[in-house]
Amino acid sequence: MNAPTIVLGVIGADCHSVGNKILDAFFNEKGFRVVNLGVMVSQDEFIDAAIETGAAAILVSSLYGHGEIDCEGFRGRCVERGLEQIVLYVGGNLVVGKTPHEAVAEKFSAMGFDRVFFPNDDLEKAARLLEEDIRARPREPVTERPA
Amino acid sequence: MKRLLSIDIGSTWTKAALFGLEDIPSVLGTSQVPTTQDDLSRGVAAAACALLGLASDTSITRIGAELPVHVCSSAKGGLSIAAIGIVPDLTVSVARLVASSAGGRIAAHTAYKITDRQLAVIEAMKPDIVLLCGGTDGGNETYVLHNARALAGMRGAAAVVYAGNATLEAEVLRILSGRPLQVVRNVMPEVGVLDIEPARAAIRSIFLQRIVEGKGLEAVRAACAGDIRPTPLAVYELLEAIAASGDAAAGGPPSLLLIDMGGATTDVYSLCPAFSPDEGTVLRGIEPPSLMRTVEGDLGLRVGAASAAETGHAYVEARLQKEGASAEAFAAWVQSAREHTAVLPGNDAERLFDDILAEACLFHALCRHAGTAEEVWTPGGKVRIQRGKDLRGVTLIAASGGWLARRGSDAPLKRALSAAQRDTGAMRLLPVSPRVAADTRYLLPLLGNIAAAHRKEAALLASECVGGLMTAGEMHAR
Repeated sequence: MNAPTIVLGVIGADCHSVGNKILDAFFNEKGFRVVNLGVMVSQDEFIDAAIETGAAAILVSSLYGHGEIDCEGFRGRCVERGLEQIVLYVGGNLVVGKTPHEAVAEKFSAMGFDRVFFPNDDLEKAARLLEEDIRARPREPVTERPA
Repeated sequence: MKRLLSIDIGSTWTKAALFGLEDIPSVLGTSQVPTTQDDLSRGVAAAACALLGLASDTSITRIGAELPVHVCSSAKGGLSIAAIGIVPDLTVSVARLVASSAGGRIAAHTAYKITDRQLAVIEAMKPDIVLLCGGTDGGNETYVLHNARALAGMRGAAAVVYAGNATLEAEVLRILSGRPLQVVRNVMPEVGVLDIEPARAAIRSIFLQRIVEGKGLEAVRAACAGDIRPTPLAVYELLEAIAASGDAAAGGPPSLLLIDMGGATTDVYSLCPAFSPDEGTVLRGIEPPSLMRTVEGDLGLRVGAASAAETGHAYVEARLQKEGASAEAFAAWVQSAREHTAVLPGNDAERLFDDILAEACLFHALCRHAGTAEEVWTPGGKVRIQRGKDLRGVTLIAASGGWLARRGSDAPLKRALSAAQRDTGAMRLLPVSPRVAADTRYLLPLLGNIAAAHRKEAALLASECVGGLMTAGEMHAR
């Protein structure tokens, strides 16, 4: 398929930039067109960039433990702004403390994220899943093109 | 001696200057006559004859044969542009930026999909140009194609400039095949990356074709050494010349702000780096270009007086209170300024009202042109978030246009600036303690007129006109 565009960034007031750069390089190498917004990105900035670039997925990182409050309402905002079909991933140290991964994953899935990742997850696997999820998503309502 | 005639056709006055271009370029004289609305070429010829000491019935064609004539015009109220993009903070804001810096006035702007109602508004505004932007290269298609189709059915003679997602060029060409259309490079090929020059050039070329239609401008055009340009574009080109001349000298271009406040609009131009990266400052949104123009269509001293009073009512109220002046009398002044656009204040009270209205225009124009900075605390410490352009490095404000040139004191401008600095909310990135220089002979637009053809000379004369672009101290600091 055509190289899908993905939007990448670290949400909220989070300044952790190292992991973000690694993800940028990794997904580029895997053949995605990466639009990397860097650190301290707001929900609307992710969505703005996804609209202009026609992105297939948004990958949200959060490393500083405030992921829950930063990500609250993200899916709803996407829907409101016309991105019903976008694939939404989130990953990192999403909450403070030792909450079990299952509980965290459940919480973020309930918020509308398609997949939730943790620090030791395999990136290769994440890239494979991302490709599948993008392929499986319902097509955009196709604008009538001439023959 | 090589001489050069520069003429600016304004909506009220036609102004002219004669420049000498020897080793040391000089201003040989200036003149001013009322603009002749029915046939603009008569006013142009009259201004030239007054300056050259020719018989008053000499035609512009004869004058053009004698020496090079450069003409700019803000007649017809300038070039009207509808700016179309997708996301307000991204391509809509870039489209507006391009329209302003090409010398245009933004008649309308829309985001996302154009609705039937918005299309009707655009049609009613009768823009000269519709600037269609949206999508990064290889990016969004849905909105762009929708908007192109909407424009295909638009009534009126507006030309379309397409400067959006490059992948869709062929398709947009096909959809809009029935209209005058120019396809140029995308204004935002990637998120946050701007490429505005091709779109600017396209707008300029359309303007040059359209401005000469009617009102006797064909004759002026035929006598001209170059094209007739919109006045704001001439000023923009002067700043380009200044930027280039600064590069040649040691230390790079000076950092300056040029304000042109007229009866209908207040235009602000800035020439300075938009963002100085340092530890702890993050730029959000699009990085503005180092040379930027904003046009405030609601801030003017005559035709625009009522809207300026409305926009600036809080500022005006506070100033009236401080001066112990009557709000009714102020409202009466605004009304009369709007109806009699050639009026000048006749007594102290009117002078005060004229000043207060001007200050309110300056206050809002400066606030809108300057970026903001906000300090936020993060778990990693304090971070400063900058949006828009940082003007703190600006050391000179050049003031042009009737009021700023006539006023003879920089106190009102400085008062407006300091009010803007103290304004509540996010910190505004305004010039800290700039020198103010008034363009008392109204030379800057006339110099802009010759800037494309004579870059160095125009920059040098502009520097003289504002008492030097850099002070000795600034030179030394570099």
